[in-house]
Amino acid sequence: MTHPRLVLAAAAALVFGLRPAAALDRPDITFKVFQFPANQIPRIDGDPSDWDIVPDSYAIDGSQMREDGGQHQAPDPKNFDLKVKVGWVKGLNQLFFLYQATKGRWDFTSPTLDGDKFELVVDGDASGGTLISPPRGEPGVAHAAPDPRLDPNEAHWAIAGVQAQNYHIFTPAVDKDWCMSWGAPTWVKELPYANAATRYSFKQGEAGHLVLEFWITPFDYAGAEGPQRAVPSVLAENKIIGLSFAIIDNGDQPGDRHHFWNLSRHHTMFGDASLLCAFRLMPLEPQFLPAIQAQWNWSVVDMDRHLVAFQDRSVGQVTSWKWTFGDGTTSTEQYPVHQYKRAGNFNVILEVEGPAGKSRRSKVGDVALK
Amino acid sequence: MNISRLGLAAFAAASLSLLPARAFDRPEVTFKVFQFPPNMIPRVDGDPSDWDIVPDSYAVDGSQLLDDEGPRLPPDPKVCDVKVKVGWVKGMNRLYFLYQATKNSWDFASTGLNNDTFEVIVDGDASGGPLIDKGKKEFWTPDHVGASAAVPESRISVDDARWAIHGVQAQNYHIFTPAKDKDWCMAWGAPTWIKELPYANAATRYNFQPGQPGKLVLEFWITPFDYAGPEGPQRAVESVLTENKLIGLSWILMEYDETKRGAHTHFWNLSRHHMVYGDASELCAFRLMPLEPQFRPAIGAQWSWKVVDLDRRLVAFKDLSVGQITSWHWDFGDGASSDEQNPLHQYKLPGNFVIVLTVNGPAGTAHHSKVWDVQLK
Repeated sequence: MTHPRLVLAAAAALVFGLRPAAALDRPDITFKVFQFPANQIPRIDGDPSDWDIVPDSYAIDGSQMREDGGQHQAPDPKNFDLKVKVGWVKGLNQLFFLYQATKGRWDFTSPTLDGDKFELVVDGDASGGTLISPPRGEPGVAHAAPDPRLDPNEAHWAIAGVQAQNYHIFTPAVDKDWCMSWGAPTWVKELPYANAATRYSFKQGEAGHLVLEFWITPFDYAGAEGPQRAVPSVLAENKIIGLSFAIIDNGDQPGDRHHFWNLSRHHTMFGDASLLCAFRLMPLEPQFLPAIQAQWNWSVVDMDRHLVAFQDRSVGQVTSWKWTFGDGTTSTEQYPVHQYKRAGNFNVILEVEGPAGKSRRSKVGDVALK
Repeated sequence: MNISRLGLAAFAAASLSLLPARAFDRPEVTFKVFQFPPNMIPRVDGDPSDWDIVPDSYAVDGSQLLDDEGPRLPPDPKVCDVKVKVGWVKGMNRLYFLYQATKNSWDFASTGLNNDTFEVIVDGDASGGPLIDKGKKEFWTPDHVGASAAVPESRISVDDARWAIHGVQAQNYHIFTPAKDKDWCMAWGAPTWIKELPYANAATRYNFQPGQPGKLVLEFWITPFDYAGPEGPQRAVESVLTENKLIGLSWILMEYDETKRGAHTHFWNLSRHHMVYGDASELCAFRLMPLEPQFRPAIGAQWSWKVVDLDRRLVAFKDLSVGQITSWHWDFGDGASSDEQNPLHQYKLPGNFVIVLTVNGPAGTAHHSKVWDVQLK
């Protein structure tokens, strides 16, 4: 009895083994997304100095990239020197990017898709799966055989860019939009969802240095019709997102075969979010954290009974807590649940103490009960 | 018949005149909200240098304020020298503020409301009307809100009424100048979540202790809402900010003195109505200005499009170019072209198209292409 079951399991493993495992690419490495403090959010102006606070451990340079059209080598920094930093801000569902590159020849004057590009693929909830549609897909991108009852154009609008997004960013964009957002939701490249600025001083065909700064908003769902039904990805501390980029480089000589320098080890990451790399939304670096700082939030558990749960969110080592609920009562618990006797707006204060000293935080009238 | 009709009309006019007129306060002045280019959006860090590009004509200083809890005078610049600039960015539903003030004493030692305050009231769609709850009896008087609104509705509790009204269709921020050991502001009313990221962000710089003189720089953004309920952003409706739109906006500098707890020492108001803090019909008019000429190119091609009928693949193109333009040329990406300014084009096949608009004028030629934005099925 057990033998047929084993055989079945082995057969199933073989069948499923043909498909990529439900894991992100390059399990050996987790790239880091720098958390900017709210008072140091980079200004998108093409000036990279806002990014000086980002430690080198966050920078991704050419040594991480592979030319996956040919020799699988990294770019030679003498011909193409590049560095990418990615950032986020707790409370904002935006990803910030700084791309700096020095190259022997920049190609960017075509009004079409042709030219040097920074291709970015992002999957904010790391749900994986296909993000380009079968009829316009590329060989090698895993997807089911097209169902003849589905109009390929309808399928495109249901799949392409909807649950993960692909941006072809023109480096630089002249006389055109800053990028092509590939797929159904083309509106994701406009304010307030995105913003971009570049600085460079080379002309078509020349060598030089480019600075590209931008933000995008990743979406768990972004439909063709516009933002009204869209769901931005929620960015939270320590969350892993799927992200990869490739540099499409038209080469050092006119007519050169273009290079496709890829952060993922799979060429088809551009259309399959399961092949993206893992990026972690990092906590604040210690130098941006106070030694001790009181912070808290609250939620109403039961409005009818005026029952409120308080959550300590203080920073630093804390050894004692004191809550003043604003109705004459107090608590020394870290996470008290308090029942108010009446409706009203209350001034609540949390005082914390630790080896680094004391700190307190009041919210004036935020806790409102009816 | 005619006489009684006239009498009725006169009676109606007399009754209606008890209500505030449907107009902004201070009709003689329209304040200006500066449009920042998207590559010069101020960084909210307490450093005012991002705002150097804002011309002085946008600055609102203390001479515009009157103390309406004392002699109706503006602040003496020796006691309180204040300057406010307001900005916006086309495409973002945010208002940016720079508040700079030098004062001879700053009071901010208390954990409660007794704190020098920059009180900002904003009504993004200028719909007007009361924005504070019916518990504020000095506000809900027949003179101020009309006879029927002044009568408490006994079938609705005061608390329920507060959550339907207070801060919902216009917002009031009590911004602590500065905030020490507390949130940067009190968002007064039902929606308290509007003071957090991504809806708001604030930074201050100062170098004084409570009671001392000094200079404070406060930089912040807020998001005005046409509807903001107490439950959070899920049902909220952001005000749409567009060029040349008028919004209702005003502010008050509320001064406290630690030695006189609970009492304001000054109430320097931009509106000429004391109760503007609770009535969006008494706000001043602020216009969301176009980009200043120095931030606009002499000629720049730009356009948008709308699918009029997807079944017939009919697309309307709209010219949004800037500068003086004398001719247009559209390349629709399917072999067809047009020299109209705002053409309507019917595509024969589905697909993704590369479309280029070329414009000409005295300042030269400009192009703008969108790659595969126009998609038809």
